[in-house]
Amino acid sequence: MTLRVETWCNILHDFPAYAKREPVPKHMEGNGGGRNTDVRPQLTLELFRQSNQADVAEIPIPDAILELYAMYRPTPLIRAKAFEEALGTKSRIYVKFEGQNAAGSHKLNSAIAQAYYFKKAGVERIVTGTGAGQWGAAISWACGRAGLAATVFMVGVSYRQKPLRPVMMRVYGGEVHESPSEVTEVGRAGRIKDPQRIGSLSIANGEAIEIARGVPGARFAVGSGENHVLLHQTVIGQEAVRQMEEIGDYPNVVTACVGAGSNFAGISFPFIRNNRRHGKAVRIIAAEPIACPKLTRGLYAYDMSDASSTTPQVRMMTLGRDVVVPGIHAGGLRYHGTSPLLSAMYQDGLFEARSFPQRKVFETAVLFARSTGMIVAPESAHALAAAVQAVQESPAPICVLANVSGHGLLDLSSYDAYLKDEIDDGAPDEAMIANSLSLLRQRNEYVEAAV
Amino acid sequence: MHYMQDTEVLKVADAVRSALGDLIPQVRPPQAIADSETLFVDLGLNSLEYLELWTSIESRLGCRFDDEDLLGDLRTVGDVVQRTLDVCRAGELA
Repeated sequence: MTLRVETWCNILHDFPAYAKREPVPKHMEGNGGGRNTDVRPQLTLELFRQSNQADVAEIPIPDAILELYAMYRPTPLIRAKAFEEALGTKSRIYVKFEGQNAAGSHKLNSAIAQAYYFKKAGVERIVTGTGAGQWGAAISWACGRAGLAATVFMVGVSYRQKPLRPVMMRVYGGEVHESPSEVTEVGRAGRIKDPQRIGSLSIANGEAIEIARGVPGARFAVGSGENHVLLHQTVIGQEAVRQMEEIGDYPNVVTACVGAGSNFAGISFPFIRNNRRHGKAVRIIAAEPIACPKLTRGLYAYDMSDASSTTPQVRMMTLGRDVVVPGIHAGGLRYHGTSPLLSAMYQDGLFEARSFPQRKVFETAVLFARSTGMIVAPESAHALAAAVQAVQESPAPICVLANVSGHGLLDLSSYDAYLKDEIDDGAPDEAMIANSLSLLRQRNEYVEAAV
Repeated sequence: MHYMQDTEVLKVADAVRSALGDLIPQVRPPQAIADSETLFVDLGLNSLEYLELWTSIESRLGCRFDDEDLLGDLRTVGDVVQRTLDVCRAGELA
């Protein structure tokens, strides 16, 4: 059996209702994203098409992208027997490991694709926001390969927690700013509101959009949340399904962490398709930090992805764009919202969500490292924590597949802080969440209750 | 030959008119895109609608635009009509 995957899994074909964008209620219009002939489309036509088309189940991956994927794909899917033994379980735990590439995470899967399509569209510079820096590193490398310039706004707290990631981006040729920065109006306003410059992806994206709109030849790109990004990541699950079949096993549970949802969608969509088409009953579990519980405690409401209120209103599971999440070490999971597509699927019960305290996540990650030798990203460790929880809650042995979205070799200072007992559980700022949700309700009037 | 070209232009103009009418009927009521004044009107679309316009024209005419086809300044209704004509003609030649 060949493991070379040559198509992306278009889940919109299985659930075409999700391809139909709900019209934004009239009272929400004008709250950003209005008509303006100077607004150049930030997406390319092909990426837009990928975000909306439901007529084909499998979307062919262009040869130029496959060529770059071949540098690191297929990625390993391994059974973590030593981890099972350390846990004392008879369940089988597999991990799909996306950390063995130049950028160190799954983000490269979409970075390569987006750089390819933007280059084709005549774009000269990509401007983007990044949380923990995985996306920033990936897009910096991919842009360099494609002959594009890259400007990255990296969330301040992660910029300081993971100082080698911005270095990595610069090595790849990217231009990096700590966000909130001094180079944009959004950043300067953010610094006044947030003097400690913790930052958020909402602010970083707002800065990126401001630059993208003002610089000729520049476009704003995102590393998660949008349908086309989720689509690109399905190469993970496409491979995993084949790898599991080749092994002769199949998971009862699939877990992945959720920031805006790209690695989660990447591993889960092909399994969700199999659930629907082939009568499988795989439980899909999204793992999030208690610090940013948008799925488990958020509202399904109209909101924007950026602090500058430039992006369109989209309906998603969100804590509200006004929230500034505590500076946990899993910086990639601090985004206030979730992909609109995943949010709709969550509303329809196609997957579950669980939240985990930071210390529990690191405890799991350290046990995993000591048993397997693999040091995983703090974000990815949430997937392991969810896998362990699923195993421990099951009355009988089960098979679990966890998506390890990236390595943690540039997160060692976070591990060091954990080992020195210098980190807490990352409890959410309840007052801030309450205030943000209240503002969100006011903007949405009719909003449904939290899940 | 001249008659054939006029028919083609009208077909494309009709598709563009319908696509625009569906996207923003309150701004651009159904009307013939024929006179020069209308052709020079700015599209008045937001960035999402701009992309929807092209895919809508694709579905009406059975043509397909690539990102390369959208390079250059495309600000007015006339720009869209002309670019659509170019792509349709190139498709027929291919």
